[in-house]
Amino acid sequence: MAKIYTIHFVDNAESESDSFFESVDYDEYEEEIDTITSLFDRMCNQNGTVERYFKNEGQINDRVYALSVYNKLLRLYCIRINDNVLIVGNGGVKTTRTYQEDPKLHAHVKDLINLDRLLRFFEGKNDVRYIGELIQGLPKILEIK
Amino acid sequence: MKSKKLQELANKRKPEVKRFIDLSDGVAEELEQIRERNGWSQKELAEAIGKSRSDVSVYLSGQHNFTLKSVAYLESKLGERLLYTLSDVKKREISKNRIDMETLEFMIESSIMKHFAVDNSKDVKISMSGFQSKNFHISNSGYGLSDIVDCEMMN
Repeated sequence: MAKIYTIHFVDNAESESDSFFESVDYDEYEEEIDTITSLFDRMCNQNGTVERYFKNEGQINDRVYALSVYNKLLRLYCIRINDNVLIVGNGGVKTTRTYQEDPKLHAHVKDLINLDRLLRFFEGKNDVRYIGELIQGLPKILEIK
Repeated sequence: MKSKKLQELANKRKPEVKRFIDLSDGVAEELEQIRERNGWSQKELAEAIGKSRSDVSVYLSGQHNFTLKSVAYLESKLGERLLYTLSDVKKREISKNRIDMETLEFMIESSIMKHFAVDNSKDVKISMSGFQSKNFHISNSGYGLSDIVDCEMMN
């Protein structure tokens, strides 16, 4: 039904999703992490990356969303391309009222807003295309699930 | 390339959390399909069930802890089922088998009518793949096939 991808910035040791999952203490956020991985399973095997799973978190007209666990603080930011393709970025624990008040979270969201702009630019030139669950034209985007 | 980290986390995940998400998201997907079938926005779905738009957003997130009472409430408001218990499924299966049996009975009767000239009463044993063999008494006056509906499916 869907494939989930992540990005790996050239200067970083690991991909954004691995960085997110490494940075969150599993013992402390076990329920949230288990919920996120279970939702990934539902998206990939059942329903696709449909909008109802996400909260719109970026700016108007972009495709940046947050996957959050209901009533909990953990946020995982992503670009929801369509119902078949999701690009997961980084995230963290949101302790401020808005993500903009937290420099780390704000930086993660801004990375995705910029990537979304870049993708739209390449999509416009037909250099990046989405065929079903597949992304064509961007070898640096990694399939994670 | 799949993420080893994600795989590792999925492997140590508590089964009850995955089951909870499967159940909650199953109800959410039913709700979403009702919304789409009716061409409703989330706001219109909220109005149909007498809840707020933010309640609907939570219901559709795939992680809401619905109570049986809340599911019953939503079903009564929408006039559609959102959740089937195992006993519901078993009843539906029996009902479906009964229909199949009626179809089977009709097919056998038709076949007998077509291929056998039943001059005298006789006993016939009918075996069909997937069904237990059954003896039937066939005569000019009619077929004793009505009890075929009591056949049990053999798995």
